[in-house]
Amino acid sequence: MAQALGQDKSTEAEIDQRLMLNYASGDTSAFETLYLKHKGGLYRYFVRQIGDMQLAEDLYQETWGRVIKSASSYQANAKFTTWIYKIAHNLLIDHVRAVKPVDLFSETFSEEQDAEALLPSDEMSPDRAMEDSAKASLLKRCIALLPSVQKEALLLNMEAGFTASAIADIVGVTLEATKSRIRYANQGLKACVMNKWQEVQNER
Amino acid sequence: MKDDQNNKPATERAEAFDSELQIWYKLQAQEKPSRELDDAIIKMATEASTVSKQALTDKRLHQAPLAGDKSTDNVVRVENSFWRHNRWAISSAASVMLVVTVIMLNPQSPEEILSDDAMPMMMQMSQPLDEQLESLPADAVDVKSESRQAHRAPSAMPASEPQFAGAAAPKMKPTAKRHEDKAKLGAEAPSNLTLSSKSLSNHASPNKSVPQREAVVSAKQALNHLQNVIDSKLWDEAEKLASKIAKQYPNLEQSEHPQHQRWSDLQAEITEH
Repeated sequence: MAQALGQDKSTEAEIDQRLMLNYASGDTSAFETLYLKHKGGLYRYFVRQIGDMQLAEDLYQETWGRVIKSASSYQANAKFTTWIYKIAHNLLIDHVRAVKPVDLFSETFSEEQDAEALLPSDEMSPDRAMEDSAKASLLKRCIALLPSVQKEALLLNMEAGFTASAIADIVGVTLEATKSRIRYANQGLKACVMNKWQEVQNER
Repeated sequence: MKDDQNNKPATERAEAFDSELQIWYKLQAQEKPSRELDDAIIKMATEASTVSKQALTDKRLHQAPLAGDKSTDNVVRVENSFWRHNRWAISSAASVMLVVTVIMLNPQSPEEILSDDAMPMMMQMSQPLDEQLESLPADAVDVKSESRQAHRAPSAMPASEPQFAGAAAPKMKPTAKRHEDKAKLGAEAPSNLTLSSKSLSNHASPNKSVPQREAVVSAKQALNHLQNVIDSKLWDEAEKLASKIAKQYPNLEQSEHPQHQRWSDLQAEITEH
């Protein structure tokens, strides 16, 4: 199973590389395919880390701009997703981290937002799907509260499926530091979601 | 699901997020770029592709004729310009021109190098200048005041030359040089020295010996030349030269002149023929 998953991943990487090479040789439809495949993950990578939506979109566009510009020099031995997220990470560092860290974190949910809205209504049956949906909303809020480095590790893993070593390569830190970030993010998010869920339950 | 997580090895758990978190994350990960943003990026990619295609086509068209010429060899040719090829000859010629230009611009430098002043001489302590200058007439006061400041140290000078002449040398040099030139041409021609230098030369009488010695040497040379002409039996030329020498060196007629006897003999020889 794991082997099959690994093969799928390698095939995905190969497809990306081929698409990129095709685009470099003038096939614009290859770029469209590549873009549609990766646009969501990359967009959320920026939007979740930057409070300013306009800036997030600018950086997103700039990332694709750089991909387009560097298409001719793209080397097939580099994994496309690693390459594009490295560009994205560098842009984020250049544009955002120079600003005060406090300004970076988006508060997706304002404090005034009523937590009741997250709850399934009494008319609806409290089934598992609804509970997951509610917890997903709570998770979104908890992600916004994570420290930036942990948030980035989470997004890279969740959106692009990067392993700890790939994340370490993109972010430019040691593998141990990356693992540590993932572990803390994991624990923090779990605790945050459970606490908030408990609060919601208590309010009912 | 929780059991699955607990069964995973610790290292694997450290590298991946909780599966529940992953499910919740995917449920809420709905944000996507707007349609306009998508269109803008795809348009950017299309334009860039068109531009690069155009550039590639142009490049191929431009390189096509060159490729035909160079396709046969892979030798890297370094362009060898005229200046690079003849760099040694050009640099040598430029150096020679520079030296010649410098010499032409400073024609007196070689003479100064070869002059008597440049020759090594015995050191002599000069007399105190104050004593020398006090005995000068009033018209030499300007020289006196300047030379008092300038020369107090012992200086190198020829033993035969008076010490005072050496002390006043910097001021008198151009005039003295002219005087020497005239002495060469006209031996004992009257001096045109300036007032101050006249008074200096009058005061320091041993100084006269120098131009006279040079004049004697010049007359001697002229007579040698005349002797050569006579030996060659070129009597017409000898006659002309004799008259010229007689004009240039009238003091040869004086009996006390060291070359007087020889001059008389040569004149007699010319007269015989």
